[in-house]
Amino acid sequence: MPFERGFLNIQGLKYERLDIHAVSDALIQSVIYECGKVGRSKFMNTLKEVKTGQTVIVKKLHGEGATKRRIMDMGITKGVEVNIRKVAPLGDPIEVNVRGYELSIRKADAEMIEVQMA
Amino acid sequence: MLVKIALAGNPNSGKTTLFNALTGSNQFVGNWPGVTVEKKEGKLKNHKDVIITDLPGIYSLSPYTLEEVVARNYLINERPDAILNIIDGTNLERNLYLTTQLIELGIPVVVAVNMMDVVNKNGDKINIKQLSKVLGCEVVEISALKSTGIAEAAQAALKAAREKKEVVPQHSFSGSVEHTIAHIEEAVLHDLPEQQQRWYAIKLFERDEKIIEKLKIDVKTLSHIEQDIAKCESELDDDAESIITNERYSYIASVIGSCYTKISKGKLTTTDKIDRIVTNRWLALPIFAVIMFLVYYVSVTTVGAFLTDWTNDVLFAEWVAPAAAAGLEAIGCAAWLQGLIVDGIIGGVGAVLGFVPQMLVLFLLLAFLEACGYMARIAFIMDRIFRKFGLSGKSFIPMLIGSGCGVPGIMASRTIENDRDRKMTIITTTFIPCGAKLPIIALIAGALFDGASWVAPSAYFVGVAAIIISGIILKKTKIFSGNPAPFVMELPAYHMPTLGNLLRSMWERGWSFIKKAGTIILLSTIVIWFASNFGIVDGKFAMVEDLGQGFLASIGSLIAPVFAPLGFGNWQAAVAAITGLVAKENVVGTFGVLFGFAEVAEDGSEIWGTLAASFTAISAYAFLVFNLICAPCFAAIGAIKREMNSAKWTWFAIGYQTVFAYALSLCVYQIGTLIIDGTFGIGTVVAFVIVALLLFALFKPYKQSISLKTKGVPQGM
Repeated sequence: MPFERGFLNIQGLKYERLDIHAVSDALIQSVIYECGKVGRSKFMNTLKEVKTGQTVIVKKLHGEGATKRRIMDMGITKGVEVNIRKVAPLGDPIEVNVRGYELSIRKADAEMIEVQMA
Repeated sequence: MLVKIALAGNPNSGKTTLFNALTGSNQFVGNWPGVTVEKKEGKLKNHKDVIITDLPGIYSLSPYTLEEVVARNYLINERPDAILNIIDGTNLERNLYLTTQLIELGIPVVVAVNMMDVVNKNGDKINIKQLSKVLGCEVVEISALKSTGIAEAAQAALKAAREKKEVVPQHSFSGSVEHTIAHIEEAVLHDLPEQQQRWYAIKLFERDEKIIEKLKIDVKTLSHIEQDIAKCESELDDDAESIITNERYSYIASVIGSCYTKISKGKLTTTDKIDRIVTNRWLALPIFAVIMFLVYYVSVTTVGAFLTDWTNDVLFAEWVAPAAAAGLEAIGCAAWLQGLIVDGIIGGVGAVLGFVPQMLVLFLLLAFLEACGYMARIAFIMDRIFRKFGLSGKSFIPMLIGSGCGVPGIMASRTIENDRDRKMTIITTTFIPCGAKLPIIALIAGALFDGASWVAPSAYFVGVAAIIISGIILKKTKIFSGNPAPFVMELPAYHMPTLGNLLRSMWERGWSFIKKAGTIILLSTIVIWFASNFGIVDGKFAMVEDLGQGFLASIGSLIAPVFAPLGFGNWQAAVAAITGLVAKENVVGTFGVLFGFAEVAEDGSEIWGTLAASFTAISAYAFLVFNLICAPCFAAIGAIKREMNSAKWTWFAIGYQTVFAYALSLCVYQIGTLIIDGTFGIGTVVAFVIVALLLFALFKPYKQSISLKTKGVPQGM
């Protein structure tokens, strides 16, 4: 069962290229991605789930590319305090206070921000 | 010797106010080459040899937004003699983030801390001397709004530019990052002047693709430095971009700690109090509706309409045109030339200028909404709905204004920062029926639907549906999937803008419309005038009395078969659609003339009978749909050209609109006749194919690209 093996060795995949079983890079990537999703939604608190009025500390930023860089450029970096101010009238985006100013961010992007209670 | 100073800073930091204060009226507004980002330059007051370039408002020098790429290309390629970096004193932490990057460029930097009056009023303290010491560059206090410290800031920037005193970045990254950066400098950058190396090295460390491309680094060297970067990343357990960003912000925290004392912490600011109401869960939408109503009411129905009607009906129709006619008559001018000047040129110029007063009123209101900070809240409130169609929350305003007149509607799209959202808004805004399309609706409703009350609302429904369908389809196409649209937006503090700034912004936009759109409108009106008034009479080229004998009528007969599948393949309808390009209400008048009436009422009630004879209910509705969605009038096309700032995009927009209108209209006619008369033919098959294609385009999966393409940005970056 090549899939199971790949699944169990998910940590090792980064270094091991699975030379016995033929598994495409795309499959490996998608398995890692799917596992990551389960991990994120089940075991992590993200900025998306934080209730209005609470203050949290950013633990880690997931994702990559333009949106992640933009989020960091705007001051949401590891260790910073973020206060959730409000949710827009239609339920999305949210307004947060970070580094002394107000920032609005979509929930889909807020999900990439792992946080812990302050 | 010419001295070049670049003005850089975050959006909402008071940069525009400072630029206006520094340059006064010596400004030239244009665009950065190849992109729609506005470029402003000006001569420093009392210094003819000092050019100040206002860079786009940016938060960082990352390669991901158009504004940032434009700004950093200017800084690294043009290398101005000094950078005047304006920062908001009430928001030091985030503003200094850009400063840390500017200082690394190796260009003399002067930092101007703005809004010092507000900082002092709050009782907060900024130790300017200490700030200057830790940043390693000169720092001055200003208040752009109160005009204090501006001359000093200009002098400091000038002095820095003339002395060419290098700024030595005072902050350093952690040991292993510095080690890697030093290694990159040594491996790749030793040919560059020493003061430029650091910035490039940091960008290479961040794996900035645009810089890698610019420096043309070969694969071998790249993989060599890649090893170092990867090693540093695993040592610090983070990716390179995050490492740099984190360390910049930690450095800023230490700077703030040593020079900033905040007393006002924890108190509710005025902005907080306003936002409690304005973006409140329940009150936000009603307040938004009221503000939109007021903007529409003032700029479209009352003040704006009054001014526009006056310009069109009194200034041009009663004063200028008769005066010109009398004057030309007096000097014995030929009848055709008189016709060209009075009907063609003055009519054409009038069509341009007629919109200007209305537009100025609208631009003044928009400038106020933007400058006071409410525009960002509009995007915040409306984002959820509009982003589904590839539009911005701010697209609401152009569409609302577009229901009055498409020209100011398109011009209102200027407030949308994101290039993709803005282009999409420009293309779709004129789908909303504007005031000039109402007579067409009234004509069709009256002539063929017995004045049924559902016709007019259905026209708006078609318009909204066209926007939604186009938005969803276009956002999935290649040309629109290129630029990412991260919606991570600052909600700036509210503040009262100055009247001077508002008027200046209003005039800049109005004037650019007159200049850029004016030419295209003037030329097209003249061409249409010639085509409708000249023709071949008895084998000779001559001026015709009757529109039915002119070239336009011949063109109409020639293209009429094209409209046959849409149900209105008669030449009158084709000619009416063409004259509709001059102004949409002309469609009604043209039908009147072509059916032998000299003058018709606005809704064309005289020709209802004749029209009912040459159209069926279905073909008339198809005609209506086509005229609602197809290319707008020349004035609106001119506005599209102005806002797109590209011939290619203008053609794309009007091409898309016309093809889309044709497809929709075809479906209406063919499927309509199938249902009512049971006629089935090739046209019906085509209609179903179009419907299927539309459905496919609507529901096909879509993945947003994450790379920013900036074709046309000069110097090959």
